[in-house]
Amino acid sequence: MTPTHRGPLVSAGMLLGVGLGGFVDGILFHQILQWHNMLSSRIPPTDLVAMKTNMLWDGLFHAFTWLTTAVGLGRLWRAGQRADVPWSTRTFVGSLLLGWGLFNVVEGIIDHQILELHHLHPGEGQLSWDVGFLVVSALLLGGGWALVNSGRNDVEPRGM
Amino acid sequence: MGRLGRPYLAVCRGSTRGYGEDMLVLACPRCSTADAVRAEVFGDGFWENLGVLSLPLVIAVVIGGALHRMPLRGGRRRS
Repeated sequence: MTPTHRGPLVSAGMLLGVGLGGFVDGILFHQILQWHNMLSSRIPPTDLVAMKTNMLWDGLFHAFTWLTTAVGLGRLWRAGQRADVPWSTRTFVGSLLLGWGLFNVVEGIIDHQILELHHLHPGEGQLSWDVGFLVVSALLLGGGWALVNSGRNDVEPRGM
Repeated sequence: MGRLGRPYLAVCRGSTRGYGEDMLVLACPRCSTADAVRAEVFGDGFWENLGVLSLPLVIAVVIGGALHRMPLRGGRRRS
């Protein structure tokens, strides 16, 4: 059977990209750099109670990203069992980037700008950081789309 | 949106009587700080707040999942 459906691979890659992209945000920006927390613009972490409140919401955010990653892994497993799904590295890596960029764009628009739950790097010039974040996200989306597109003719099945 | 942004120092103010506000910042003498925070976060408005905070991920997941049926038609090229 010639693989003709890459949707399952794209879907799995995108879900994994959304989940892993969320982990990058949480681990890098929340924990290592400590630029912001989930609600740091609403509840500034200026005392232990406020900090722990932000930590709890950070934890719930990470629970969602974990679930998304787990679902993506499950879909990848299912896709690997199908003979009609091409096992294309370009399609998969592009989908990962698409998912990461998609998460960042939605996060950057809804959380940073509309709800103003937090900003990437609050303080002076926070808008520039937020815009830069969206630009990088758009680059991830563009790069991901280009990779997915470049693999549109890949028809090699898994294990070949 | 729920009770986000409400001053959390009000969580267990009753227990600060006789101890002063500073005690609440470090440790609540009657209930632990973590208990107080959990009680506040998981209290009224929790599901509403959770819905709002999970919105970006939900949107991204829905879009990602919708691509499940994306077809492939084309020639042969090794990946």
